[in-house]
Amino acid sequence: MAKISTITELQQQKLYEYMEQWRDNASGETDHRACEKAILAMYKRMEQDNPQILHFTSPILAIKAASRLDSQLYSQLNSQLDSQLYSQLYSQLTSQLTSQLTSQLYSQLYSQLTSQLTSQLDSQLYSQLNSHYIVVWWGHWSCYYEFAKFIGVEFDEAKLNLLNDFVRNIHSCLPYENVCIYSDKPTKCYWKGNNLHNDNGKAVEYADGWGWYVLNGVVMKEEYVTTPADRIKPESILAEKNVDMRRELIRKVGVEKMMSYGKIIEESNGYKLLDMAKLFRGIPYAPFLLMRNPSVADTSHLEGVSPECHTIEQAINWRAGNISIQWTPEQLS
Amino acid sequence: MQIQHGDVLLKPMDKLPSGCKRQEREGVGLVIARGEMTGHNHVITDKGATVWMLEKNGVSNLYLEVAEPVVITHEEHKPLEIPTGIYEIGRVKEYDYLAEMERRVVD
Repeated sequence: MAKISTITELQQQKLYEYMEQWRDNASGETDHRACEKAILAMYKRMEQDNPQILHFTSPILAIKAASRLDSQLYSQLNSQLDSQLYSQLYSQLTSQLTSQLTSQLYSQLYSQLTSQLTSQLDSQLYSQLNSHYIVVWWGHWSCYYEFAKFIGVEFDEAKLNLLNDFVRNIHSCLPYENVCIYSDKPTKCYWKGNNLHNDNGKAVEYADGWGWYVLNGVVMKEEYVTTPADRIKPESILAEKNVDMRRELIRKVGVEKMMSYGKIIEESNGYKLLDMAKLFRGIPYAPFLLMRNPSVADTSHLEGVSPECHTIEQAINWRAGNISIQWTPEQLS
Repeated sequence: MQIQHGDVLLKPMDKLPSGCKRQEREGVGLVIARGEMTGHNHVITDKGATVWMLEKNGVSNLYLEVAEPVVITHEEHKPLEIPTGIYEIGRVKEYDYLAEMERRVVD
């Protein structure tokens, strides 16, 4: 059978609908009856006895409750659940996907789907909760499988339904031998396009008040969101090591405002080389390269370059490894 | 062809250095670089690429061998097609004027 190589405009429209459905699914009311059903089905698949099922209002409370249980038991079953979801369901379904889509279409859809909510929500949950099992991660894959089914990919229906029922209902869970603890979904997620975003408070809120702050998909420290722009010091922006957080702080404060703290050395092709030395005590010359982010609209990066750099060309070359070797990428995103 | 995908740099080379070890694919594909804070990775899902690692004097360098054109993706960057060839995988660096030292860009 020939592989599917393109999607129609109508199918592309439908893709957005699928993404929206799965995005909406990430927050709101938790259907506890459906959760219990999905957990029991997964335990059955793992050949485990039915567990006692407990739920809490947020992942953090679920973890606190779980910390009273035996961590060894947890890790054994966690890895079994991981293996069940990953090796037996995900890898087989994905193999069906790749065998029926051309690699170009597979990559195109992957790129569109992984930028949506669930991958962001997952990565933040995962980094904050570390080893605890996060099922929301699978949301974008379930979305992918459902859409792929719509455009004609044939899956093992039993496996697809088992995975999707679990992912649709379980936000995050900690599976033990006789107990399964899961968390309710966030009560509210705030969006700007496909990114979690709230300028005025938490972008992800749970019923018990827990949550986190996100600007344009970048998880921020609470004070970065709650401090008014005119009270954020430029020094603290340049001290932020994470370039994405720094980008969002610059957007919040305003590029023009940041530029007002420096002196323009050179300006060309959308780049500006600025001397920000007056923000650093005892530093006579501190060149920073200001550049537009080619992928995220209306955002700029301001990154320090070596004091050896006196031109934009030198700064670009230095950032890529060597001030004397030309760095002029033919492809940039 | 020089290619830049966010903070990932692909620098063309004539051939792989000797002594490289092949890196395994992980789940969805080849992870070229990881986002430390965001968990967002630069990934190649196509099968026409291989990542190689060379460890020398405690430093690991990565190389990408592309046998047929592949697409690199990331949650925040537009996908780019990488033509066949061999590339050194580099990362953008920046200068920290508080610590007065250079470091790799962290995202």
